[in-house]
Amino acid sequence: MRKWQFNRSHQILLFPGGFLLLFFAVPFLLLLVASLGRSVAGGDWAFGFSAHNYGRLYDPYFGTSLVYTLALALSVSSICLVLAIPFTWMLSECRRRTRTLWMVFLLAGLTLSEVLVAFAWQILLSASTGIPQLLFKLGWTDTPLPLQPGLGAIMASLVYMAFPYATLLLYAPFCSIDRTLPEAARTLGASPMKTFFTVILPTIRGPLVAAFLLVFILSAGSYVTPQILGLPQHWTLPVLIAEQALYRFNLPFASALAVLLLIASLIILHLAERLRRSGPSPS
Amino acid sequence: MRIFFFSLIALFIGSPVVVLVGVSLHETGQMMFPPSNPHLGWYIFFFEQSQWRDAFVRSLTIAALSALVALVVAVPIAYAGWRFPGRTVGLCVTLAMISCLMPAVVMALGFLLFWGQIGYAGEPISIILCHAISFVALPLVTTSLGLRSIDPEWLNAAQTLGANERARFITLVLPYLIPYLISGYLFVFVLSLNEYIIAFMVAGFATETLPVRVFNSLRSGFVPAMAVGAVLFYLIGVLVFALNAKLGHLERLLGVPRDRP
Repeated sequence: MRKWQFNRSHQILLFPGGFLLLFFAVPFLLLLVASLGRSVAGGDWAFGFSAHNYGRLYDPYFGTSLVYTLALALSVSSICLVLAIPFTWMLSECRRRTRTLWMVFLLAGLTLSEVLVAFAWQILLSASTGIPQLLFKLGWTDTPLPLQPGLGAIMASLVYMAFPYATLLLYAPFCSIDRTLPEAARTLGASPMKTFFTVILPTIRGPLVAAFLLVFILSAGSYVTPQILGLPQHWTLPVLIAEQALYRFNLPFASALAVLLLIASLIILHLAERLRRSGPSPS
Repeated sequence: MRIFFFSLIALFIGSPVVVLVGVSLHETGQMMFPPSNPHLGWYIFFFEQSQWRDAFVRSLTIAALSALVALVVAVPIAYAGWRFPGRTVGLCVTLAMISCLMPAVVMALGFLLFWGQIGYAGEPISIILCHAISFVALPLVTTSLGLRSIDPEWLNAAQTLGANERARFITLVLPYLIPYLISGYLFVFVLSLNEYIIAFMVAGFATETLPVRVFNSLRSGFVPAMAVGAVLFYLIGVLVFALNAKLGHLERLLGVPRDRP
């Protein structure tokens, strides 16, 4: 190993590196430290070294909430990819003008806040307005059936939020696929379906996993949507974390819950990474 | 088949936007769709009521500044990674990327603890820095994409002609990078505009951004003014990205190779 010396690169990196360390690494370490501390009356917290907060996690209430949050995030990412994969593939075969229009449409959707998306779905799914009224007027249901609050409404809204991200991440890989590959597969007698599943999808396995993980992280961290579109039993772990931190003034316990969510997410990230590497063909 | 599938997706993506536009045009304060007797009264209300107007302006200011900070942090990392790859740069890139791979609520809690210790929780500056950190990965990716498309031979040529590192960066690299910088800036701007949980946990009790204001007023009851902000933001988004597409950079920014028809 060469001796470390201060060079041009370090000179350039001094400011950004320092910025990242101070405003990202320090807060993150503080979170870990706080999770070992104890809360003090008045909403403050004190340094300490005890696993007390982690002991409190051993409670079916939080365990169920964690499993529910992860299951929700996994289903949202799966549904999202099932929609985004065929859509992006078809889009990548369109003319340039069509592609650009769709891209602007999808990107503009990113300007809508989670709060407003959930609010719009609340209106769309309420019994007095939106889809239930439409079904009722069409005579498909006898009475306008409210579709929210509920798990379905939460998932619709989360898939909606995540769809543009998944599409944008898959777009370039789909566009960059060598078009002679599917052609060759078709010449050799593979059906379009078979070509898609055995030739096209494996070549973009990396971006697929990346898109899945991004959507997973987005939905596992959702805080607003479950509150607007769900009942308290639909609340995710982030809601409980914020509740502990802001309304019960127990920052150390909130930190321990956050560490729990982080570790669970890391395990999923790790499993996905292994899945990506263990596939049949190198990509 | 494709037309049918595309229409379904368009319906799915478009209907919440239509709902928000409809609500913002509704005459009375009830939650109704479709709107009866559409008018622009709530837009006037939005800009006359200082609570709404201030939150709107505050959100725009915070987004503009945090995008600037994110750019100032990301560009040197991308440049160093391109010119002098090494372990230190790798570490910086990893830190920047991890920040966007963490569930937002975990980041938000860390930030709350940090700014609380320093005594700046509740200040707009803390939201600006937190958003800059949370979204720094985006300008890093767009800038790196731009740098990768510069031919290293040009740098050698410039060096032969006597330009030093600084001159090469300012006269050669920077002009070439500008579209990538603009789009990196815009991505952070747009995401910061609508970010909720970090803005709420770090400063929500003292500094209300528009999403925080909307959620707070949603808890106490429905006001069509909340949809006005959404429609305005959406229009900003359409304008910004359509402009980006018009300039012809949109696809390359997403990483599509240049020779695509």
